[in-house]
Order: sequence, then structure tokens, then C-alpha cells
Amino acid sequence: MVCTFYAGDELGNIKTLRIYEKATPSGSRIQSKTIYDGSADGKRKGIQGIALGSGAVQGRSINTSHADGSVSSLSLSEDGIPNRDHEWQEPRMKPGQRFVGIAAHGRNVYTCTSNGALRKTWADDDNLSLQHAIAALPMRICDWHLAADEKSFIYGGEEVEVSVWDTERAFASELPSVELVSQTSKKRKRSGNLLPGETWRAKNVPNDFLSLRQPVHNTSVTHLDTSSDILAGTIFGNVRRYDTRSGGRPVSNWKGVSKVGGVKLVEKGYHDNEVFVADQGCNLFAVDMRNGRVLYGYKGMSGAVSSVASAPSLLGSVSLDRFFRLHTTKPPPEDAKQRQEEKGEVVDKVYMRSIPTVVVWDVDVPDTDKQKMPVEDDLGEEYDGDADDVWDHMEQTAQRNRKKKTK
Amino acid sequence: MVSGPRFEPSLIKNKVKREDVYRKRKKAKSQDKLQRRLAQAKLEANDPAAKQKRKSENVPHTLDNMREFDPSILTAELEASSSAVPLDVEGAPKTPEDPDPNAQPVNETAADIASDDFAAYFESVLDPTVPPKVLITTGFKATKVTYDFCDELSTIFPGAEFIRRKKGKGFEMGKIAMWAGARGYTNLCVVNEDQKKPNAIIVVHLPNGPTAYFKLTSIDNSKRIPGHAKATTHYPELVLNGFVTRLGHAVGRMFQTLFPPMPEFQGRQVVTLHNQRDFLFFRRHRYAFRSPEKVALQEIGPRFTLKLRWLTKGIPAVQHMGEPAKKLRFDTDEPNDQAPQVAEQVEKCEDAKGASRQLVQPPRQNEYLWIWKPELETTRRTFFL
Repeated sequence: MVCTFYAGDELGNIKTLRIYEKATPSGSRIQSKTIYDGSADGKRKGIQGIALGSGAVQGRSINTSHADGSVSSLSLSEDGIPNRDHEWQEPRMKPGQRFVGIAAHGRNVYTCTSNGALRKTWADDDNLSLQHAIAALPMRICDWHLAADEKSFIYGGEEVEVSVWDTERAFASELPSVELVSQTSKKRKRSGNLLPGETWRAKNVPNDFLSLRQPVHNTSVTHLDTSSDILAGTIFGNVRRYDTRSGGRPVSNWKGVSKVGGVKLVEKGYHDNEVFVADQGCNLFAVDMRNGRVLYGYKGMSGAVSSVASAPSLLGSVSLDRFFRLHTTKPPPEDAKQRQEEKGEVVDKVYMRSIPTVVVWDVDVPDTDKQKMPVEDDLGEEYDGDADDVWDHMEQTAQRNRKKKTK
Repeated sequence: MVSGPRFEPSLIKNKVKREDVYRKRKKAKSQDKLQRRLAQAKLEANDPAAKQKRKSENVPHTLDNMREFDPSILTAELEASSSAVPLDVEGAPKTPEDPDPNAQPVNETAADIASDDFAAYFESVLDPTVPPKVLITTGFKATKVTYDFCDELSTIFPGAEFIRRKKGKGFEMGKIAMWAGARGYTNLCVVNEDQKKPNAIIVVHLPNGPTAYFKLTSIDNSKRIPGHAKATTHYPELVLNGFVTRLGHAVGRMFQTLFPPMPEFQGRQVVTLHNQRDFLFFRRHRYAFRSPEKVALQEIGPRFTLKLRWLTKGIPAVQHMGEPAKKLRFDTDEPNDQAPQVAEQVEKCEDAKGASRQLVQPPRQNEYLWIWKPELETTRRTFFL
């Protein structure tokens, strides 16, 4: 087995998708299995986000946010049977709103809704009772993303500029009152514009040639290599790269990346300088981070991509046409000006029976299958089960491999 | 006459002779075929079982019956092979991990269908005697041909109402769908025209979508059908043929919601939507029982052909490009007087009868559930509906 993806769907089911190196007797490289059946409630408890964390006791924990405002935490036992550990409700989520972000780091689970209800939840030492901390973010958020080190998070939305917050200060600060926000129209100091807890906020791009203000509508944000490097996609088809160390304006603004409608999601790829951009139609592109050029697009997609998850040399995507697709990815050329020789393609797909909404890649691989991971042996020993370390090592090996090939 | 096992008339150099030989051969061949057929017919007249046997064995290969396997075909339950088989290929574990507690849900597709946007119609909560309200309109600039076609369309759906499309900004399809949904319409049909001919129909299911765009071709008005019957106002029966995949079912169910759930059989009218190779053929007939064995069919019309081009989630999108910038604000508990900002946010609106309906805001972007692209048709045997 190469790797595992977890997918959630509109009916509240959670499925595992195991990817094998060769086709199984069913003729597919993908083996799909429903590990949690939530379809009894119909679409009421549809899954809107999945975050994998290390389990409370051992193994994997799957944290899912649902359309009815509930968040549940399942732990997977050794034989893959899920047990529900905790479930809690986000009372601030109103009808018509949705979860825009869920993240797990250590024992903490963060959830954020589109009306700005941010919540941190963690279990006590005895794993019985839950502790909560809440914070308020602006309304109309479209995407929320936690940094890998948990110290900051970013969000963006409709008329909500991309913004970086300090996690600790966000939860420490009191809930902002309405008056505070309404003051923003008056002349104030520059630094006073930031909300308590906010460390950086993007500035809108300059007015267009008719000196009209450009509307702001970020649909998807993601961190690149460092937490100061941010990528955002807009509903008008632009992909913008921000560096929080160099002012508020985007360091690069690529127009017209999406072909049908706006950008639906941006996701960092596994290789260097590689990001994946999906539009509202049914296109998924690999884009070179250095110059914003489309390296290649995937063929044979018939529905809008709702979520992608990148794994080493593979990419999993789920789309509204009820398919999970497995893609190969190819590294961008060494020099940005060179042309991309190899193109990624869709290698397999599996019908999911209901509309999948989110897919995540499981970093951890069960011990029995570890030797089959495409990593070098000397690094294989250094696995200690920590998610971040696994990430780091994989990144290095990927680079090393590529350099060897080019020499 | 020259003859031989491999003789070809085309080798004869004299034209008159060549044509003569060719004609004779052709005639002999067709006579031979006719004799065989007559003999076979005679034989089968005495023995109907032989005819049955020949018919069952001699099935022609068509693109339709050789279609490529699509995992979303609803009859194809590959449950056993796709998930529950223990694997013994190299690279796959020999799974001891499929014990009974991991039994896969078998009715997942049924649950998916039962929770889709058309479920309200099929749960028979509606009054079967009240036809679903269908709003028919045109694109912004329509001509007489389109209006005539719309008039015919509105005779097909018992609850149809044709309203001319209002001109100008603010009458986008998404807005119309929003209002129509709040006024209790269940479907919106928009007939588009190009070069003064109707070329597309957009069907929107209300209030929450989905929206389907069909290419519209081969329109024959009732008048042009020789010997056509006259339509009555009875609720027609509905025949939906050949929708096999999940996408096909979505389209079929969408058409079903245009008609009253209970037909009036005394009207003897049938509306057919026949899917063949992804083309949807629309026909309307009246049947009559001439004798207990014999049924006669008379076409009412109109005829037209549809082909699905795309299907989107939700009602059509409306973009608000020029609206003023909204301020950054926090969600407070008190109800705000500002219009809801998030796509598809719902409000309550009071109906004339006092029943509260949901006013569904159009989204900012269309999300394509399915879109036709030439690259999807990898072979001529690939079909989607």
C-alpha cells in the first residue's frame, strides 16, 4: 500500500481510500471502504471538513465538522474501526453558514465557521471532559487555514482581506464589540487598523485603469513553505501570493488562472514551487509558483473539484461528479523558464456513490506497510511517528531524489 | 459468362458486359436473400419458438448496447468486487480487516437519491391533484419562433405559466429563480434563442436547484406533424426511458418534477422522454384501445431533442460586480438589517397565504456538478446519462 486518503461526503459518511502500487483484483488501484456510516440523517449532518490528528490514546483521530454545526472526534482502533470519542456543538453557527476550516494540532482541534466563530477544543488529561476556548473573527469568511506550527492562522473571504492572526492572542483577546469595527471608517493610525490578535492584513490591489476599486473575494487561502508565505485564490480568477514580511500588497498577482468561473481552491503541492488550482468548472491545474504559469491540467474531470490532497508523487481529488480521482504529479522544471516535459495525469478513479466534500491525506502509514513507502532506507529509521517530522523528511528525500536524477 | 471462385466483375474491361454481369449478380443475390427470408418466415409461422430463439440470439451490436462501463450506472452494484474482496496481490495486505462490524452500507446510493433536491416531490407530501407550478420564460431578446415554442411548452406542463422576460438589469436568471421559488414555483424553464431560433433550454428546479442546461434541436411544432391530435388539459402520463446512471437519474427526476405526480388516465395522453445515446427525445402521444389486443397511437406534438450540456448545483449565479464595498464586521447575536452576504443564505418571506417560504439567495458562482467536454467522450461508446 502506498498511502491512504480519508474522504467525507454530503451524507456524513467517512471513507478510507487505500492506494496500492498495482491494481487489485477489482481492477483498480484504489480500495474504498466506508468506515463511518452517517447517512441515516440525510444531508443534515454532511461533512464539511476533516482534520486528522494523533489520537487521544493511540492511533489516528479523525475530527469532522458537520453541516448542522456539530464537530465530532473519532478515533481509529488498530483494525480500523472508528469509535466516537467526543462530539460538541458550535452554537454560534447560524443556518446558512458553514464550517470553513478545521485543523488538528496535537490535542487541540480548531474549527472556524463562515460567520467567524473560531473555537479551540481540547480534551483533559483523563480524556473525559472537553475544554473550549472561543474567539471571534469577522463575518463572510470563505477559507481558514492553520499554520503548521499552530502559532498563527490565516483567513480570507468576501470583502475580507487575507489576514494573519496570532493564535494565542486571538483566543486571549476579548470578543470585539461592534463599535470597534464601525470605527474603521474614521481616520486613525495605521497600526490601529489591525484587530486585536491580528498581526498582518493584506491590502487590496491598486484600482484598475478606470480607477475603480477592485472587489475583494478570496475563496481559498493556503500556506506555502513558511508561515509568512501565503497563497490566495479569488472568485475573479486571480491567484495572489503574499509575503507578510513585504507589506500588504501581493508580491505576485496572476490573473486569469482559472478558466471557468473563479478559483475554487488553491493547495500547496508536494514538490517545490508547485501548487494546485481548481476552478469552479471542472479544471484542476498544476501551477508553477515562480511565475504563475500553468504547468499542466488534468484531463477527464467532469465535475467541479471540491477538495484535493497532495501526497508524495500522488494527488487525490474529490469532485461534485461523485468521483475520487487519483492523479500523478510531476515536479516543475528546475528552471522556471524551461518547459514542463512530463505532465501529470489521472491514473485511476473510483465512484463514491454520494457527493464527496473533502479529502485529506493520511501522513501516517501503518507499521506493516512502512517499508513500501517510497522513501530511502536511511531515513526510514528516523520515523518517530510525529506528523511534522514525517513531513520534513519526506520533503528532503523528494528534493534529493530529483537532484540525483538531473545530475 | 465467365465464372470462377474469385471472379470479380470489375475485372471485365468491356463496360457494357461488366455492367450486365454486375446487374445479373446483384439481382441473383437479392433473389437468393428473398427466398431465404420467405422460407424462414414460413418456417417460423409454424413454429413461433424458433422465431423467439432467433430473435434472442441475433441481437445487433449497437453503440448503445456496447456502451462503456460506467461505475455510476445504478444497476451495476460492484459492491463485492470493489470493497469487500480479500486482496492477495503483492502490495496489498492480506486483509484480516473485513470482519462483520465493517460491513459496508449497501443502500448508499438509495440514501443519496433519497436526500437529493427532488426528494420533496417523491416523498408524496404534495397534493397530487395540484400540478407543480412551472414558470416558462425566454432569454432577454426573443422572437416569434421562441414565443411560439414557449406557448407549446406551456401546453405540455399542466401547471405551466408563460411570462415574458423582463428587460434590463435586475432580471437575471438567478434573481427570477429566487423570486419564483419564493412564490411557490417548483421549476423555471428558460428558452434561449440564437440566430432567431430556440437553441437551448435551462431548467431550474426551485427553490434550491439544481440547474440543467440542455441543447435544443430538431423542434417540430404540432402543426408540422401530419395527422396530429389535439392536446387536452388532462394531466399526462410520463414515460422516462433509458436513464441509467446517477446523472441520468438526476435528469429524469428533474423532468418528473415538472408534471403532476398522479396522471389523469382518462385523458390517455403520454409524454415520453426517451434517452438514446445521451440525446433526450421528447414526444407526446395519445393512445386508444381499438380492440383488447390493439392499441393505436396518435402523436400530439411538439417534438424536440435535448442534450445535456451541464448541470450545476443551486440556482443560477448572479454576480454583483458594482456593489459598494462591505465593511469588515463581526457576527453579533442581534439580527442585522443588512442583506445576507453569504451565498445561498436563506431568509424567510411571507407568502400570500401566510405560509412562510424560504427565499434562497442566488450564489455568486455556478458550481458544476457535471459539464460536458469533448475530452470526456474517449470513445463513441461513452455515454453519461
